[in-house]
Amino acid sequence: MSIGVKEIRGLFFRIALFLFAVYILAKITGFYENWVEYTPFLALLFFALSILTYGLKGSPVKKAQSIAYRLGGFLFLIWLYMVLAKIKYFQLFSLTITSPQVFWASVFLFGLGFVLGALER
Amino acid sequence: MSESKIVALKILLRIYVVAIILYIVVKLIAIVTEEVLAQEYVLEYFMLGLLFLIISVFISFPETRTLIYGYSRVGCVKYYLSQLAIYLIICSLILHYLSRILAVNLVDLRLVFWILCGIFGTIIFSDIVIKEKKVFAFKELKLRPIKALRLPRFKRLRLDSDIQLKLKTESIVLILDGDYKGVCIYGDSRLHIDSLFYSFGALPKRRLRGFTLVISRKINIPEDAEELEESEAKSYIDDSMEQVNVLNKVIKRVRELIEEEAHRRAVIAAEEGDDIKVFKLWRLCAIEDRYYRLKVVNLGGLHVSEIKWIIMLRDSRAILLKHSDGYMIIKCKLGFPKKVKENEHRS
Repeated sequence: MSIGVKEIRGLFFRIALFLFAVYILAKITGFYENWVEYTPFLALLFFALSILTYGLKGSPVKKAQSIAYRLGGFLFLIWLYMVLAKIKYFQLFSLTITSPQVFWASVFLFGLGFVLGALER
Repeated sequence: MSESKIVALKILLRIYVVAIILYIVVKLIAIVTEEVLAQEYVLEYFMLGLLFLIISVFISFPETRTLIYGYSRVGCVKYYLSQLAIYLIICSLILHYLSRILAVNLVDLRLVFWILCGIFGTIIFSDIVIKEKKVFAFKELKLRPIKALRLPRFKRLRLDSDIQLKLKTESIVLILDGDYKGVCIYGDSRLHIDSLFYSFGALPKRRLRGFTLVISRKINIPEDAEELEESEAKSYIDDSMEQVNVLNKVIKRVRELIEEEAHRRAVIAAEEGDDIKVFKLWRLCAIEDRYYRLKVVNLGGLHVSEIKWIIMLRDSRAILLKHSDGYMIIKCKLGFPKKVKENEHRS
């Protein structure tokens, strides 16, 4: 059984929907545990992934190139937001991610997309 | 059934608007005079409960239910689970509110939370586990006329639990029998279906002029009908046989189209080319066959195991059918037989 990009995108969207539903349900029923606080962020992450995988076409290399460019653009926007809002770092679970790290990650992904483009030709 | 639901929805929406206005007024008064007319959270709980009640009524409309869940068994399970989840949420809201007022936990809401998580998980992920089958199980209809009747105007024909026809003119009605039952009505009639599907433009008008073919599992014909003489009925019988043949040709073509698209996996994809335009809007799947000027719009899933009923206008210019997984609209701009005859002429 082969899984296409469409199915993966659908799965990401469903996971995002489910996580968001869990968060709302926790608020309604008054359920509280530490992990509940992470669900909206994770839902947003999966939602972003489902958008990032939208309309991917072509060979696996072409798809990887497209994902790298999109992810790079996404991280660049996050970095821009961090700079404008003067946010020096943010906490992801136990990891501390600083704004220069986000910037270099986006540059790396753009570069990766560029190199993959050469492989495609 | 649907009308009472519409009334219920209207009432709920009006109550919701009143609650919003009340909420704003209470807030404004609290800001201006610092007098608390009502606790804010009371109105918040009320509005939230009402919102879920509105969602419950909205998804119970036949059209919304078809579009969201389809008519398959899995769809039915998902629909009832959604309703159960909504009422559980409303109950938990009430319990949450009571525990806030009484300062005592009446029920352990952690259990309710896990149950709700399970229900939502089933609703959201069941499609991945149980795949919707893309089969089109329409078979050729074998029908023959057994009786020709003359019915006066204003007679009512109950053809299925949800289809009713009222004759607007004196009409000739041919009774068909075979693997299904059916009627061919030669005359004007007014159609009533216990559904709001007119809004989807299934049939041009409720008043059907000249000819209507209805195929269903059961038909109720008035007993006091006058039977036609054989010589008089012959032309109608020939015409009805031709119309059933046209319907069979259309069904065969629709099956071919869907099989082609299912093979290309284009039924679920947006694709344009080879004179076939396929697109999907949620559960709304439309296939256009430009060659025959045929357009098929499927409302609901494609898990078709049987047809409940079919309504067809002359030369299949418009067909509305209800299958086991929803409704389907088939429209032919030129009239199917004309195009077929043209092709036969050329070859």
